[in-house]
Amino acid sequence: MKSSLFTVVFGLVLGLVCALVLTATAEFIKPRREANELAERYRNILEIFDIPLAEGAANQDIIRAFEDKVTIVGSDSANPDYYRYAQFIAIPAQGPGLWGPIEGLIGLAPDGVTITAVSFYKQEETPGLGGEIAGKNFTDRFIGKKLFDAAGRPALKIVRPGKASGDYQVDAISGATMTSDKVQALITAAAEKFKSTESN
Amino acid sequence: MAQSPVPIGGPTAKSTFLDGLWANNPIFCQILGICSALAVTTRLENSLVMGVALIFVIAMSNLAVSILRHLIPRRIRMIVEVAIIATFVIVFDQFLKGYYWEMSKQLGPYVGLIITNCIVMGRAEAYALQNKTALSVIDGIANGLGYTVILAIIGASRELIGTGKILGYEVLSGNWYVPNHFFIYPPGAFIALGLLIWLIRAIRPQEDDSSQSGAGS
Repeated sequence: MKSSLFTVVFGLVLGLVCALVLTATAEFIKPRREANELAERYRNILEIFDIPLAEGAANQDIIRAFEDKVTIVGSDSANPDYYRYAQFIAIPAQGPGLWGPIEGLIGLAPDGVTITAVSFYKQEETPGLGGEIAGKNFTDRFIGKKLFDAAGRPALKIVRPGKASGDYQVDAISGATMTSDKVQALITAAAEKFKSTESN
Repeated sequence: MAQSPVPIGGPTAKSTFLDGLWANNPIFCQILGICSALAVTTRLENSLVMGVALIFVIAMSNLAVSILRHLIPRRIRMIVEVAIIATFVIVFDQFLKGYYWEMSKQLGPYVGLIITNCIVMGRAEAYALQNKTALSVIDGIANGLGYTVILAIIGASRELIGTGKILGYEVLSGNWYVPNHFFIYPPGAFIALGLLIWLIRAIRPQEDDSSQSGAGS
């Protein structure tokens, strides 16, 4: 009986000490971690707008460049409707992937239709297959395509590899049909959301 | 396991150190810690940071377990060990996220997975529970170093063959060297590690290999 009591007390004290150590560390690191995360987010947006950054730019430089040049449009700045740089637009696109969430950005030219760049900066798709969506080889296929048709409806389609033609079609990655379907869904959803916020 | 003979009168600092680094190296002798050795060795820098993480975690967890070794109730000793290990791993992970963001992104989940690295818990069970505090810390550092050295060799050879670079600096000129990307993909890791273990076992003095234990993660 006595030894079981000691076991319980030992467990409690150890748990408490571990929790204290972890909380203290997390609190101590928090400002730096959050600055890193913010700079990372801003860097992705700056890259979509093709705004050059110095090699090895520090967090403050990235944040300053972003705040100088980019406007956040939308009521919730953590989850805005879109970003604007001069007449260029970047729409956040996110949704479920095959294994985990996919997050990306779609850059639009001043006409609000033609795609200037696409990036998927967060994804956990199958390496070598769906994971290739993050690579330039795939994202470059979107450049110059049109996100909306003449009537303003989302029109971009990801089609079977090698079948893409015209302004509205992009080749999928062979062997990654399911990931391609998810990417299609999140691009369409982002386009619809953008249209609805724009018309308001 | 190819246990080196323990000197009469218990392990000394020197025997403990050499044991972890070479005679009973966690990777090529005990075949432990293989998952991370395969996963993070695409570049030398990643391998080194992972090695530092492991040295820190084993040394600290061995220290804590050894200090508490007369207090830890036997029935919950494994839970206690895991709690201690997990705490130090998360501390290191947070440190990377704050001060070494790029590396933290590249290592991804593998820093957190040190919690389940057999080497760390193996040393706590096999050494820190029975030995004095100072020796346990030496044992932790030695095993971490043994792991780091092997990872560094694999990381350097994969980076060199796969990209022609070492630590990002071009070593084999792109003018005549065609990088073999195969070596930075996962299959290349298996081949590099397999060759290295074979090589080391071939040049080591022969020991009794009949009682080799199975693989761990």
